[in-house]
Amino acid sequence: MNARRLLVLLAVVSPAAATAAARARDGGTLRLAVLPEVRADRWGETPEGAVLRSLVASPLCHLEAGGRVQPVLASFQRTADGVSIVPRASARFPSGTPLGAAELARAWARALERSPAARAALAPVRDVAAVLEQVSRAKGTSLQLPLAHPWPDLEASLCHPALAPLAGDGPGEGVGAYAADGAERGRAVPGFPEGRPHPDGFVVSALSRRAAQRALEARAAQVLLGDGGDPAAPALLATYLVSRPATRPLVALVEPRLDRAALVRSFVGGPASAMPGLLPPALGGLDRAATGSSPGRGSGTALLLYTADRPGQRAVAQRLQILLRDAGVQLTLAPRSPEALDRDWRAGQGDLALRSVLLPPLPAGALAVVLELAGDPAGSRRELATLGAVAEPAERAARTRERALQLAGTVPVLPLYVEGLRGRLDPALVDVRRDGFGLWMLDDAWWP
Amino acid sequence: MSPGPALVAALLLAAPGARAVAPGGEQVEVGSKALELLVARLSDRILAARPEGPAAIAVQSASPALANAAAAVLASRLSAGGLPSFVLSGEEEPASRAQAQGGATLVQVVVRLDADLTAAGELRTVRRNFWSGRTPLNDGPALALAASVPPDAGARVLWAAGQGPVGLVLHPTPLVHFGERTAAVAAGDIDGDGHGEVAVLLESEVQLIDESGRVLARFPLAGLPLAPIPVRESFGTICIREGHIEVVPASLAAGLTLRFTGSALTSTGVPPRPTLGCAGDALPARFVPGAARIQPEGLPASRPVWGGDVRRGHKALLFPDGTATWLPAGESEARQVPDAGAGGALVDWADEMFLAASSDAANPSEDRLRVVGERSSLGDLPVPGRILQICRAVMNGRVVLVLGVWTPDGGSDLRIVWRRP
Repeated sequence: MNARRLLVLLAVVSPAAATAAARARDGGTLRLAVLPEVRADRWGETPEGAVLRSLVASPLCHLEAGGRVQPVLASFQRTADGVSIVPRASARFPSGTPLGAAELARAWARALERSPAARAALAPVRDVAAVLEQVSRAKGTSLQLPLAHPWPDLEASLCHPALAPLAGDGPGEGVGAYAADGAERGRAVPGFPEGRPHPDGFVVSALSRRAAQRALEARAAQVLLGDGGDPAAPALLATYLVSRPATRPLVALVEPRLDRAALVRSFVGGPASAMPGLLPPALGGLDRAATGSSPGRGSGTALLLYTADRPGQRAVAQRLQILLRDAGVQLTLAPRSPEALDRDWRAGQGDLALRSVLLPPLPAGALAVVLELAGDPAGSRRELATLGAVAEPAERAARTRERALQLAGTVPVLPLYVEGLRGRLDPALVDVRRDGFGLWMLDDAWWP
Repeated sequence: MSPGPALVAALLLAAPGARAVAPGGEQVEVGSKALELLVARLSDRILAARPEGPAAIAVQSASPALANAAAAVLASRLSAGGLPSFVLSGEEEPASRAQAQGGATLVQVVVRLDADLTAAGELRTVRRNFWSGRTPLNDGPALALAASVPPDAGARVLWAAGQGPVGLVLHPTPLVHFGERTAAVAAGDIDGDGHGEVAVLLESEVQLIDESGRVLARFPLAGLPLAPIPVRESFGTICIREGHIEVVPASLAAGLTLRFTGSALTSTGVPPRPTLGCAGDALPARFVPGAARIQPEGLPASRPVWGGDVRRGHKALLFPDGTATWLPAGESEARQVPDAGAGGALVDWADEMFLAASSDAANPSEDRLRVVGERSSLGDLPVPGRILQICRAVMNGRVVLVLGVWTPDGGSDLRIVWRRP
């Protein structure tokens, strides 16, 4: 008994070695608890899903909160007519295949098929589909993106999680600080271009909200994704109601009946806020809706597409159904998976759709996303060319905000609300910072 | 009789470094008439209100030494005046703790020293009126307390004793703020003009900075061959030697020797080796691949270090277990310094060698710079952020420390610390 006590005492007293930590300590397993809807977000389109996926599929670069672009998988170089992207030699998929220009081009061609954020980020590139097609068949070391018009924010937009290079058709295989080891685990990659992560691996558990909260409190989990959040952090997952030209009268029925603040309070939950303008408040968009006209009445039926596995979208879709019923319109709800929603909407299905997109933290890049959702490529190019010509960043941002106000009534995109990253951290975790998108960069995490 | 003078004298002697400070060099009188006078005014006002005893006393001050002295003197004065009193321990929620410790009245004051020595606060009961229903009501006398007296030397000593170590001064503003992390910092007179320069290795470039924080030249590191096994933390070594900057970033395959032309930095093509310390007897070393650690030659390979320094025969090594080993010149017996972090440097002030080191706290919002000498200690200086690099420099003719401090925004500061003469 005494000997055992002594051992326990030694274990408590002696490891000054284990607790000392002015620099990061390597080792251990990072434990994450995620809610089911975070697990369901396979493509990482929500902030929580993007944080989780970034462990195994890093974006091309980190856009730091201060605006600096930190290359991760590739470096960028401005050329006479665009930007040259050179993947770093040490960037490799878990299979061992290096990330070459061809792999990057193929990954982006697939991203364009499913993600409005990816299409918006590459919108200023001249003949982007043809460029990617050509590079994906060549054996070059760099990917040249020729610009159709000046676009100073291109590098920052390329850090968007939607452009994280993936090897196959599925969302799984990217170039990450960790290599996926089954669905729940990952192990540190020693040769990752930014250096190996400090833990040896991570493990993810999908838990109910209560169980996840308890796990964090009991320190069985160090990262909780899907619950909690910081209202002061940038909120950039913007949700819009997009419509077909023929269904614009329906939107005119919705808008006067819409109380965005109540919608957020009752159906979305924090950290989120109402978004009365095309740009979210975090990017200097309107934070107060203009007082509208009196609600009119209509008739007929309409089909609304929404994303099935996002609890907030389902609730908002049902709320819109009730609002339109009050106006005399029967709205049918059509749930879709995120990738099916993008495909079906672009194929002409549905009269209305709820679209949630993580906006880049730059007003011009965010407006490019709005214009992409509006679905008018020619008009979009005209707008972006004018904004891209303004070289000074603050002036470009101001011009974009002005233009967003003017466009608000004319594009078939009705802003609803904007959400931030839902998550909580064990306070003992060190060096977890947010990037410009408001996402945690978990790569750097360690604990004493 | 007033218990004041003896008590204040005893507390003054107990205050860290109190005797070493004599601001302006004047003779410090042991004791503080000003503090006694201030406390006398407070206690007269408290006793006049005839509060119920016992009274719990909570004094707050930026200087713990001053707070302790004021609380102890006030308690003894009130007790002598017929009001049983005790000093409340701890800082959080004084009212409930006063109640828990048996107090009926709470005296809460904040003491500070600027032009005057002032005390301000309140007196109130902590007994709850049980009969007032669900709304908790505190009744009994409540009184605002305020007093102010001209300060004396003793009060200044007590105030300064809590304001960081005696003799160490942190320049209130950073010399430079960077948007990225510092990996290594070195100082020296690169151009021989008699003014010191600071060379900083950052994640993406090397910068040469003058005494006023102006950037003299930059050398970008983008595009250089990367280390085969990359390291995640910003790490490396840098020295100013014979008009050159010798820099070895741990993230790159090889180091660079940079020549300063007066307006630009150009590579000479000679790759330097990493060393611990920059003096002539610096220890050759090599990086541990994939980790922010360096292995000095001649040490067992299982004991890589965070860093170290060599100066005038003294050697210091900073180990990842949070201890520093200091081998003084000409001695075989090494000295162990506990709670030392990743930043450390040897610095000669007057004719004494000191080891300056950061703390080993994991993620402090406020780090401590601790400076211990061969014969004396300069104590701890709080520094906002996380100190990762320390180097000795001569600036404006004065020996100073330049700190590389990581800030919570993902950037870093250079901060200057000097010793009060």
